[in-house]
Amino acid sequence: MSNLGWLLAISGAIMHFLYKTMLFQAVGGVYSRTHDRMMYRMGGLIFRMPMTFIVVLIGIIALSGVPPLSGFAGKWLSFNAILQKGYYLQGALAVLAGAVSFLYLFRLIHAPFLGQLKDHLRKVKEASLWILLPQYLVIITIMVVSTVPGILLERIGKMLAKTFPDGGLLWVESKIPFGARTAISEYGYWNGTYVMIITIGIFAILLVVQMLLQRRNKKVGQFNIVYSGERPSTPETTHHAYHFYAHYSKALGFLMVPFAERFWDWVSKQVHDIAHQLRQLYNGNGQTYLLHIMFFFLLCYFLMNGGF
Amino acid sequence: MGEKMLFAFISVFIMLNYGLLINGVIRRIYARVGRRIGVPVYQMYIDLFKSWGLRTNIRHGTMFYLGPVFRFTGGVGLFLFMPAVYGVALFTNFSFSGDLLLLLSFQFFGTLGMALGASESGHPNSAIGVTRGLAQMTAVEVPFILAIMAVAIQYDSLSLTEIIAAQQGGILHWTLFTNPLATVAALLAMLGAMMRSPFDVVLAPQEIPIGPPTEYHSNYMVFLQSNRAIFPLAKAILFMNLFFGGALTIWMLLIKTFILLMWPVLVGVSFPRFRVEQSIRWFLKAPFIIGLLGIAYVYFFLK
Repeated sequence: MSNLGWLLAISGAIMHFLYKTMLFQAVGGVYSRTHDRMMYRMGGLIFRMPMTFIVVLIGIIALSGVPPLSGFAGKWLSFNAILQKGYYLQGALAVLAGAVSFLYLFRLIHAPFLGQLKDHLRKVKEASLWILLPQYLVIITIMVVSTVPGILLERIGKMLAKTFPDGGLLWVESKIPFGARTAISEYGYWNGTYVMIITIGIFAILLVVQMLLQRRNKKVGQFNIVYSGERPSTPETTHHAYHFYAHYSKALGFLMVPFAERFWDWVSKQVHDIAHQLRQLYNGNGQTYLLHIMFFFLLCYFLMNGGF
Repeated sequence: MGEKMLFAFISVFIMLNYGLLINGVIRRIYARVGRRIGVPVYQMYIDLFKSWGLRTNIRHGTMFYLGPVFRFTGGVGLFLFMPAVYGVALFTNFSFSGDLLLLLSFQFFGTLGMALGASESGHPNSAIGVTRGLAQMTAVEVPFILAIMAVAIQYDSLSLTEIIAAQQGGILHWTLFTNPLATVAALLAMLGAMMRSPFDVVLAPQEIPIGPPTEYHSNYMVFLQSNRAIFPLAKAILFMNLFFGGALTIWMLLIKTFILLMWPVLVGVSFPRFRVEQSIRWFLKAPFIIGLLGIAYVYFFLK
């Protein structure tokens, strides 16, 4: 293993521990109020549990490796480590896994929190303070590490440099203020602080523009949606949360079927085919059986008279 | 930093207007292919001001309200994190913040925000559009990541500036000629990323009440339409930098991105629409294999 590989493993373990702690606590908070584990039976909980929603939102952005949050550090490190070692195909798979992680993480936030609020959840309260407090402590940690990734990565890198002196990250002071340091690897570079500041900057400017454009924005009721002239009234039939990625199961679902199952399916199909061919001879029709008897006598006659 | 910010504003402003005009031209091309006269090329401006002027102004919740802001931030951010014109300070943008991987990952920022915003509206069609979009997007990423991988191995770098620099010195130095397989894989992936036929079922432009923007109206449309001007342009600039030698002047940038943006249009007017499962299977067949061959080509012949 290389310096970057160890750096990725250690920092990844720490960050993953943080995200998962936070997400499990958030899910626990939801369970403590709804007493239900099936996501598709929930919906619209953002209106009842906004603080938990924020935790899940930050959790999924970080976990799926979208900048500016610290999950991207893991992605960046893994890609660099893989290029360094020449594990190209594994690298492509790893980056792809990041994109696919989006699919299942989006389900976690969509099914319980977004969409239509179900009738039986209308009186649900926000999770208790003692469940929320640790989650928000973790969020603060994630935001700090995302803004200044050096405080985690640079220190671990220094420790690793004693055992693996080559191939580590180089931390360079940048010319532009804020004291942000750029991480430079053999292949690329990344400055978490700039990414965070620039993203927040663009977001803030656009948000101000939107607020100016929409000064008279009003909140509307639950079923006030464009619905072909109708007005839906049951959240159960309006909230799309079950069998969410039907397209993927249609396109690639066959890969999910175990090999043994496919093998025995093939065997049974062959047996059926052979039996089908045999059914042409033994088809249950008296006339065909009479024909068989006639052929038998013909065969005997030819054999007794010295062959064909 | 102040100078950088001013440059960023200017370059975003220029690209926004260029993108709006290109979208007008594309609508006109689509109309002409369908034997209609079509809208004037400045129609996108009329649409923007009309949407701006509408009085309807509602929200379903905070996330719904923030969705277009996320989306537009994703588009502008993608543009600003890469050098648009090589060696010209006005268009270097904030490319010192990160390399190619930052751009690849930042694409999802807007998608995620928009998906969350549209889902909060509670409209089932929004959720269906989002599932279609996410499912197709992940399949598109497969050949694209393989192509990027091939480029990174070829130039031993993830820095976009270095990749552009390595392609200078004549048209035969472009990745298009040094690694044609990776370029083909990326161009096929580009078809899926541009949301035009045969991969436009995500937006479903004909069946109006389907797709993520179902509930977004009036002023939200200002942001979404502006993003549709700048986001495809940013992606075209990324392709230009990776495979077509980058641009040394603003004019070269405008010409190259225009030609690149015509590629999905050419395919779009010629082929009917795929269903999502068909497009997933399509991306995982020929483009995927070409992408793998692109990496093999670099590994065995260029290293």
